[in-house]
Amino acid sequence: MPAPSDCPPSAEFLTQVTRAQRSLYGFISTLVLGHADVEDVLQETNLVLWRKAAEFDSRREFMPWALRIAQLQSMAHLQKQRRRPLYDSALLDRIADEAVADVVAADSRRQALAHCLQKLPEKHRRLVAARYEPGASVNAMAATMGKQPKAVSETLRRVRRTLLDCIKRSLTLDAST
Amino acid sequence: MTRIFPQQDMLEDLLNGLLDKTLTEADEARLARLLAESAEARVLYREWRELHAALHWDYARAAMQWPDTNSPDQAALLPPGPPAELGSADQWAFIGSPALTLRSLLFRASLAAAGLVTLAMTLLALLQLPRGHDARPPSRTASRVTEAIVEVASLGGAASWSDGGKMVSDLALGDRLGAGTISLEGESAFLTLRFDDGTAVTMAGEAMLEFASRGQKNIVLRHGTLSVDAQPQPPGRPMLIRTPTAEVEVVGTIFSVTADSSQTQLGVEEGSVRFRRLADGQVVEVPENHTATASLVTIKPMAASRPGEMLANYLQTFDGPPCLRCRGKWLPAENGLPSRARAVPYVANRNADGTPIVHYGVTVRDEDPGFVILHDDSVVAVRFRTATPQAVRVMIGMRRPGGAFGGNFEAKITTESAVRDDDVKDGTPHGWRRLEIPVRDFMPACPAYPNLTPGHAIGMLLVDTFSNEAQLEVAKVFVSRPAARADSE
Repeated sequence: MPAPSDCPPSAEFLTQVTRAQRSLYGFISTLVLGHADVEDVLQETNLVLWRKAAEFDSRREFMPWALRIAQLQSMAHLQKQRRRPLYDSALLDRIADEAVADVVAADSRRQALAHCLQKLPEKHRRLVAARYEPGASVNAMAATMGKQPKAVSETLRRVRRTLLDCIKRSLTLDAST
Repeated sequence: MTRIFPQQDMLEDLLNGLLDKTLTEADEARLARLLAESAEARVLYREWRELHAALHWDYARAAMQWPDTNSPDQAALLPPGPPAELGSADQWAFIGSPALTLRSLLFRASLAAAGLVTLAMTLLALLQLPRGHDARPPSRTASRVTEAIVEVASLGGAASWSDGGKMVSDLALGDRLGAGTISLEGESAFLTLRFDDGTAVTMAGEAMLEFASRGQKNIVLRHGTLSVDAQPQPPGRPMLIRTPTAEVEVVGTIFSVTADSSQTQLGVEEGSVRFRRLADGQVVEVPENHTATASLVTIKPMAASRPGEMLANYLQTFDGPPCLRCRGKWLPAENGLPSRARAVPYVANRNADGTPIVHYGVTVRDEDPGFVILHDDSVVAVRFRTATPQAVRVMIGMRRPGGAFGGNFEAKITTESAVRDDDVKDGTPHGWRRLEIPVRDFMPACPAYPNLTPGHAIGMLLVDTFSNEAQLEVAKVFVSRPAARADSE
């Protein structure tokens, strides 16, 4: 009968989905490699969330439910891929379970990252910007610079480690205050 | 750096290589083995992958936050050794044109700010992100937030927005819109715009309005019905609503306006409203629980009045002149058939590509804002027929006291589940059927309006199908309480 779109999910549900995007993206990234693949899985997850909006019991927590859907979509996506998966399904399940349990901490880490990025020296921030420019790759950066990809990647490794240490320090400081 | 794992350096080499796609197959196998064997390794893995994802996601915002050169913590944040491999000249070289990159960053930052901070990232927009691209494309919704002044807070049916240049034909919940014109299509359609101060404006049914907010809110209702829940407006800057025949000045109240080209009806639920007839400039203050009407005719002075008690029973048999505010093709009694209304097509919604979803319906409307009060024990009865077995929907559009939109509620049946109701005296079966729907069987058509409240009035009653083959005809609509039904029988 009348189109289901006559009645979209509630504003509350949409707000939850909207707020969850970054967390879902981070979570999917632990299971699926490659930015474009992660985007695809996120999109598929959103579609499923949309379709299942009516089934969601608002008395339950939204995030664990959404993460499980994202996990299933990630697994389905990996099965569809022709290339050999990096991890077997048992390891993927374990990574997913631990990521679901860690979702609150992951959110805190993401929030701390913004502060830590501000503290990076400009040249490192530019390096990060170049690496995460849409379409960028270490190989392309290296080719432009006339460097080996390993060398560029090694510099990025130090910057990433700096950021992770800063995040840890920020969270420890927050916890102590 | 604190090592939490004996092989942390090797693991981080592998993780970094994974992010930058520099791992060999042997490296990948080693990484998988480490992850399978160690929970600590998986914690590190998760942190690195999340960092990578967050930088992808927040790239624009992160890149735009330039350093505080006086930051005392900066030295402490330097990596163990300066990146000797990369000089500053190298960095500029691989960044490419600095001007171009900065423009790109500014553009992306504005999108990110718009997209992440506001509801511009509605689910619908997210669903429409192109697949398979490494770049995060400009959000379609983000393009709407330039000088956005309202947000779409509830929506059912097809709605479009235009600012005279751009046009968006598939509005979605959470869209933020700049000043422009909204067009709402379909009998069952509704849309709520919420201004930043919380003032909510709800259109219902076929309606068109223009809105702007330059110091004060201005709305022009071309036609249709509008409910307004206005927050207190700034002193000296009342919200103004103009129709073809009247102007409403609002400082903070709840009311409804229904307008067409020749008449405007106003109903005030809470507070009071200043109502001006454009034809002669006469002004009347309309207090709570009062209504007023302005038309092009100025013979009588305009006055606010308390609406009479609304009836609990309503009968429409289409046997008089076609009711002006009903919709359907009126057919007179003939050849043993009663007078009736045949369903006509209307746009119930639109697909993502803008093509219409057409339903076929008969709509009953009468006095505005409502024509019959609903009670706990009310029953909606419809006598109808279809040429082929079909699913049929009965929808009632509710109005609160004062006329504000109170939601749509629907009941769906199949023709076979309705009892046969041919006139036995005639002897010829014409396929008439009768369905009776107790008010408790109506379900909300949208969660934004979940409760069907006794005491509210029906402002619109729609009977429709999704198929033209059904050739739906409606001969009688009867909304009644048990006593009235007993009398009629």
